[in-house]
Amino acid sequence: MKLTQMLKSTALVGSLGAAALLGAVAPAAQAAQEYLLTVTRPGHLQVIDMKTNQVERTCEVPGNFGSGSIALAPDGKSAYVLSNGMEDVYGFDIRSCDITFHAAQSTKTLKVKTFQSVAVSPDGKELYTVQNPFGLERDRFTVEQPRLAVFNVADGIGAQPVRTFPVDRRITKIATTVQGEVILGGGDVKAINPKTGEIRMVTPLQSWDKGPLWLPPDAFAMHSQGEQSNEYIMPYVTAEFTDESWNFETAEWWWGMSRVDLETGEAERVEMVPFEFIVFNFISHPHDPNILYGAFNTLSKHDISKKETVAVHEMPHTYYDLNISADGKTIYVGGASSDISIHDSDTLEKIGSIQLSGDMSTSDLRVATIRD
Amino acid sequence: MKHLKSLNKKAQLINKAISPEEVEDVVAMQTVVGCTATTDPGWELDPFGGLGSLCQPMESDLYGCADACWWPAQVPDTMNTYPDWNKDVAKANEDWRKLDGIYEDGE
Repeated sequence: MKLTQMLKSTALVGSLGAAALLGAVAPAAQAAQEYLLTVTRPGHLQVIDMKTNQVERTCEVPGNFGSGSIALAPDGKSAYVLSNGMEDVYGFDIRSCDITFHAAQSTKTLKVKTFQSVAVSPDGKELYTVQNPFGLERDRFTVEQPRLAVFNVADGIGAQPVRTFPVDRRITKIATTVQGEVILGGGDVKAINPKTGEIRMVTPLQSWDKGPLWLPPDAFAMHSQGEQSNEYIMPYVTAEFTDESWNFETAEWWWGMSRVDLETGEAERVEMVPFEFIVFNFISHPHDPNILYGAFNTLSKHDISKKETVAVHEMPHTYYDLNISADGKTIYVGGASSDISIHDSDTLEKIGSIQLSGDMSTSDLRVATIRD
Repeated sequence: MKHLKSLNKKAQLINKAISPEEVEDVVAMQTVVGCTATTDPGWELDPFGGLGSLCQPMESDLYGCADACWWPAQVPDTMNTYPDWNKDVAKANEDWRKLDGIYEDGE
């Protein structure tokens, strides 16, 4: 990285000859480099080179372990980690481990927890969290209004919110669309305009109206991923009953998902495959949105155009989340314990493993792509 | 209670809270999100009434339940109450013997 920066500097101030030299190395230097990011106990941001599948860098995350929630800057060079009991956000330059940003959300009289909800604006200039505050009175707690907090990334260490807007309770993972909205995953999937605070329904879940024969969905969205398809997935379980007696034994059980296209901000909600086993997280194949992969005690592959589970690979232990290389060929399964399991996306066979220095617990498994 | 009179604001609040017409309906959460919110099966029995869809082995899931205070009755809540419970054990599957129980009297 330093060599690249040096060459750039030379080209900027140097002769035509130096510029020609830069041009000669440019194709290699500009190839996209993918890094797999996760957080391990007691507090390390692990930066893994996806070409070699080796840990390239380990960054110290201050504070007690948070949840390992990671938000990516759009240029892939910075990552923002939720730490300190889900209260603080630290920003890292993943090329050097330098801490470039810190927001301590709690004060002496107000405790603020953020349940996974961290995201960065599409221009990389703003950072968003959903804050769940409660007051620390001398003899009691007071429940306060959850809010979207907007930080300027440029404020760096000691950043304070520049705007806040009230939002629903129970919001977990969030994401930003190309248009600049923030997708809020809670009881329903909504979107907020972080300039005005205006909220719109993207796709209902708890308030859906599918008629009396459908069980209200049980949704779970703990981990942020989807960057390889620029999408946000909220998976859910539901059931279709044969009649209004709601016999759970004869009902058809389904995995469904609300999938938001972060390019357009539009969502589809589908019941995609029969509910036969637990999946913690789904991701789409980057080149085929009908192919989904799921992770938990199994790594599974699903073709939602046929509503079929097409392959299942038993895992040696529980993994919470997964991600995929941009070419769609390699799947990384992580979370929970201290190893990332690497698999071929066609066959699901295991092709490698990355041992880490601590448990990932609830941490995200994200792919940062640097293109220069 | 009719012979007792509330003397301060807090006692008046308690009286108000126990009045049945003041109690809001409790609504089950269909969407599972956040600390201590879950009543889903998952620690002792899976949603199918068996064991196959529980996290396996327990050590893999231990910190995932502790850090999010997901099952605070079964696992120490490291988010709020016991942040140092596992500070010396980075890998639960290797060093689980070093993890102790929680004893409120400090013994």
